[in-house]
Amino acid sequence: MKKELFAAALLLLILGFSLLNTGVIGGLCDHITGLVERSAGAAEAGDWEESQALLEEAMALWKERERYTGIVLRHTDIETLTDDFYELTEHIYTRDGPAAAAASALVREHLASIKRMEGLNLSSIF
Amino acid sequence: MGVSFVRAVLVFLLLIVSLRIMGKRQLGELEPLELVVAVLISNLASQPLQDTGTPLLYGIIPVLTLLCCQLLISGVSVKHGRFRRLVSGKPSILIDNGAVVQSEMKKCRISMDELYVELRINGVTDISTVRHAILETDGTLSVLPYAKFAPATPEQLNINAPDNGLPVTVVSEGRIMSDNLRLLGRDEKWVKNQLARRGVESFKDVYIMTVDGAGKIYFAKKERKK
Repeated sequence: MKKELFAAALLLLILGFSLLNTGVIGGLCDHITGLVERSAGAAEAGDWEESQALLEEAMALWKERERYTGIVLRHTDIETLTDDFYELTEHIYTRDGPAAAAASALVREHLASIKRMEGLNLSSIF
Repeated sequence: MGVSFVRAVLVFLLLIVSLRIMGKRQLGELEPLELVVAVLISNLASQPLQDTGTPLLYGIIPVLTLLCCQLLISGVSVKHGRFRRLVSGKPSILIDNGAVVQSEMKKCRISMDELYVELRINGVTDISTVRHAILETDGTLSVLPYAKFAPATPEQLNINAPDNGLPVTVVSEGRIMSDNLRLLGRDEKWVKNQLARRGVESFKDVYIMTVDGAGKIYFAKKERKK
């Protein structure tokens, strides 16, 4: 009986951790997406300094959580998003409006994809 | 993470159902539950090992999930017979009172040739000597012959066969098994005396030495290195 209780407790613990992780990754993606969106808006309005600051904040947040994301996300996803961030930064620095808009959309799409893959829904499970 | 957890549970349940539908002949001496866990765990564990870009947690979470599911299901199975029958199935009687139960053979998808193979594996060459043949839930065949064809026991032959109990290893590959010696109520001195009688000076020269309840000793010396 002890073994079964231990198994049930461990199963609940795993489920709890999984749900918590889904929430944490979803929240992180939402937060970063918000910053990237605001950065894109500022770039569109010609406020490149603000756009740059917001993007740096988003990147710092992403980098800050790398220890955690490195454990729970596929490394290819992390590397792809980091590369996309650098590309977007480059376009913001060079003040290339159309390229920055395209790169920003790509970053947001990758963030949405990570959130989708980590979320519990039919498409991610099957 | 959550996806790995849910996927592990779904695939686990799906495989159990599939194996139950496939029948006992696919199992090969493992219960459906054991087979599913054995097959899945080896695959799941190897994935993060082969691909270093996949976090180890992608292997750990499903393996632990399967382990817990297996422990829970086997625990419930022990307590509830009906649940056990649902998960593992029930034994099928293929030969009942000497008659081959054709409907059961068909249900288990076993041909006469395969039944003969299993009977030969069990040491039976003449099917008419079999009273019952039961296909167990792990896919093995239990064969029970008619009493007149069953091997005679010493009791039936009125032979006094002493029960010497389980032989206990006292020296294994040059090492003395102190716990086993204690169980037998003997000590190292006794072992040394026994070895001296057999012309052996040290435990290190002994490959195996066992003693049964009646004090009968089996002894093998280590082979000399060539």
